[in-house]
Amino acid sequence: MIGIFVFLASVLTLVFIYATLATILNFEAGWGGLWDLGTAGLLAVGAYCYVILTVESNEIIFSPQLPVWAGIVVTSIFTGAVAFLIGLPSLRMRDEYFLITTFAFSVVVLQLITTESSITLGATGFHNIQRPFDDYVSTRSYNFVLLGISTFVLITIWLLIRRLGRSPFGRLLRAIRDNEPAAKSIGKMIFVTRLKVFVITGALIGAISPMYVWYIRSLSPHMFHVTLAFTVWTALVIGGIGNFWGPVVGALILIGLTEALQFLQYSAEYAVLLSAARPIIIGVGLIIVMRFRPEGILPEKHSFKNARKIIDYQKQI
Amino acid sequence: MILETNNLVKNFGGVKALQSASISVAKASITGLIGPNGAGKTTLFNAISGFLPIDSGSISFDGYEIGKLNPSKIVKLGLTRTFQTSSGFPSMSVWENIMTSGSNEYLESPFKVLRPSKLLREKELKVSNKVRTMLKRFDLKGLLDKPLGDISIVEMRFVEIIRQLMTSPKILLMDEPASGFGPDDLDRLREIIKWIQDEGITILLIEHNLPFVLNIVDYVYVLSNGRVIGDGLPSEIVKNKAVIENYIGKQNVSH
Repeated sequence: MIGIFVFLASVLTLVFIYATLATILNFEAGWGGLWDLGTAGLLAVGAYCYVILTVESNEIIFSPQLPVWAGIVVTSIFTGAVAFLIGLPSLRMRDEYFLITTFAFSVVVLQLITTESSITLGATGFHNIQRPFDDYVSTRSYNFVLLGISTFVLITIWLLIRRLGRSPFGRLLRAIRDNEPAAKSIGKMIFVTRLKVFVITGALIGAISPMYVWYIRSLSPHMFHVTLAFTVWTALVIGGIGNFWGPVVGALILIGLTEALQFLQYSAEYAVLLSAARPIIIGVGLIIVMRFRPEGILPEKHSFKNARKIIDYQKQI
Repeated sequence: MILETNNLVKNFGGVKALQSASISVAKASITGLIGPNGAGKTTLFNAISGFLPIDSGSISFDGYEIGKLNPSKIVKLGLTRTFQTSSGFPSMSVWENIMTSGSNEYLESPFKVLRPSKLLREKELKVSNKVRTMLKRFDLKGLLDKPLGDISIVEMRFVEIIRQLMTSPKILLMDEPASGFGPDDLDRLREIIKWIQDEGITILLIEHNLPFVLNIVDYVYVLSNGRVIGDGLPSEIVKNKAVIENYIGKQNVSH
């Protein structure tokens, strides 16, 4: 019986990890209008940065062994800085070129990680990575600790993104996304704003990347295959781009559905068949949503009336 | 003269869109820009407002050379424009649309968001009050919370004018503001344009509706094939031979 709960906790943790990534992508692509396919690349940069900074290992040439909190802070700053460097040349280009650049970035990062084994341990990667509270709970019950961590992270990121989305900054992003010439005509700086969005995205992905490492418990290049970015995008599109709840609902349906398939495995043949069915389910789900509800299950709201009321009805001083 | 262009040249491949176009706009005037389709009127607007890099020539505005500046810098100096096809930010309400243009970089800082200060809220309220005053002035108070997609084309044109006025311009360039307007709407537009002038804002206006434009402007330029072929007071321009042959047509004048 407890086995089911452990399994459910593990599935839910994965759902929350994807929901967090989709929420960040919603900010970047949904409101910021940046077509980013580099989520896996940024996540890889963050995850490797964190592990290299915190791991106790004499196999790599640089190992400062920082405490967890310091590792997260430095990782966030570093990933934000990487996003800045990628954004500087690529954000001047139009949508589809940015898409290709970020895609290429993802591939290049994976190559670099695989070849620079003096610091990344190459294709072998890191295993049995130390996790917070590891010493206090059994490996089995650690799933519940992870569930707690991922719930906390999702709620924090979701609240942060909602605040950003409803703020004048979020309004500016939607304006630039909706109509670039009109935004220019009222003096908005398109490139600088997009760069801010991309750096914030990088910093947030960096900050949450340790959670992904703790979940998998090891670190190797194949964890960051570019299909990860497609999965996050699919979750966002199914749930609803531009809606605060869209990415959460999308991740719950998509990841929940594909992971629940594991329940059905009772023979080896079925297991192979079902794992092959995963991309089919994702594809069919995407087609159905695109055909019957292109704006996603939860469409973007066409105004934030409350935003006006909060401002207009505050105490007149 | 608040705005002067000198020998502006712009080519699109082999098409000479502007061939040494020079105009001067007097401060606090309403100046008209007329001419046949494809004369280069909108190209001239795009060049002045920084949307289109010019091949050669210069543009001086309020003592600054703006020929090489980007749109956002030009807007900050006090020059703003409307578009032939008015649109806006369709995913937002009318209030949000206008608030966006009233907000400066201080309000739009992503880092101030985390702890919205009292000062920030006060500043936002100030902008919001201005939005409501403007909508009231334009008789469009009912539009406040309407999604932009739900308003009519005529309302959209007025909302666009408000949006551009929120940038506190010294000069407003209007690209065919009256297209698609009925007689009543034209009266409202005329009254609005006069009011904008009374507020001390200079206006440069592209318009095809000749009776409307010749009635409202103080001075008028006629463009054809990227060149200024005539300029003068509205009463003079209708008698200008080159203008009649190239644009107005002989029959129109005889009436």
